[in-house]
Amino acid sequence: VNELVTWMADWRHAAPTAVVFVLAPSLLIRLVIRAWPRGDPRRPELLAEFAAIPVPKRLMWVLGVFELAWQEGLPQRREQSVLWPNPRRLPGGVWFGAIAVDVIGIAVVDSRMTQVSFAISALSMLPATVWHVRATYAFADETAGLAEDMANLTKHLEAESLRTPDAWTDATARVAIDARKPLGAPVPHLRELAQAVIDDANRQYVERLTEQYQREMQQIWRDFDEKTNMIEAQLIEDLEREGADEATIATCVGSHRLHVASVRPAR
Amino acid sequence: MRLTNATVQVVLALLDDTVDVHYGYDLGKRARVRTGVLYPILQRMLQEGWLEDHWEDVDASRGRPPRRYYTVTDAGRYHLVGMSEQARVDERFAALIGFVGA
Repeated sequence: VNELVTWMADWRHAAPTAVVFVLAPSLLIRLVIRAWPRGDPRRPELLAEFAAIPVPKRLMWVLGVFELAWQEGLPQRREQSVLWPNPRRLPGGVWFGAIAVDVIGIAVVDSRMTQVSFAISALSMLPATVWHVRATYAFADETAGLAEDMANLTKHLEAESLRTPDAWTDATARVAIDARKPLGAPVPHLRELAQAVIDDANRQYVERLTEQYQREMQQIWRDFDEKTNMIEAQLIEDLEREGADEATIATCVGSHRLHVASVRPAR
Repeated sequence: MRLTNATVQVVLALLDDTVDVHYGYDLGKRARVRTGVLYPILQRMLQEGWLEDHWEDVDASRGRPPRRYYTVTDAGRYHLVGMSEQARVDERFAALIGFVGA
């Protein structure tokens, strides 16, 4: 220790001393706090603590923060990040950790939380990535690029379809994507996702129309049966009043029923 | 919360009546625990409701980033005192009692 202190006290060693004890800890702490998710109070807290620590002790303290980042920051970051266990390669794409960028600039990210794949713009991904670890272990926030992507998807849906249901929102689009994207399935691009949602909406529209038609037809059948029964009852009453015998009544009722069957709406 | 050397050291430092509000570095120094041990303990105590946190006034921080201060809640004091009493009668922690907060 004495030799180190003597070495540091030499003015010729001022530059390396400043680098090791002043610049390096300052850079390291700014780097290591990025292990915590954006907005986590631990980030500003550790920066404030760092400022309060005497300069000679800062390097060792920062090394201790690495331990904390490993135990506390990285697990949180992993929970909130969009990473996937089975990277898939796009044709012509280049993978940077969890992000694949293909030749047309689409990044593919799988979400660990929602078990869903997204094809999103690589440019919209960039602000959400952590620059210093991107090459080896890319992190992205849960909603990285997704809000913009969902807005584009909604716009695309509205432009493509004349029958836009009122309930089409970012949330329903997201649910629609979730429903049809189990982990490990091929990654569709935005256009395919949009088409899938449109097909789904059209199918639902046809189903709603069919249900409505069936409800209306059932009402028509009920009304028809009710009226023909009333007519039949009136016919029997009139025949009985005129003194017709049972055979005549049965013949007339049979004739009436045949006529009803011929004009009854088909089921 | 399980009683360990580190927990007891932090508990005793938090119960130091001469300090109104605590912050990480100072607390770690007084409790003599590593950064990697101190903050997870504080986090658990925050989650249990034994501690409350607040940020230092920007005016008071005099140019540096505002500190995150921790204060012991009434419920926290009740539990922390209980833990310190447990530690005092536990031989495993006999060596620890007496130096923290001094």
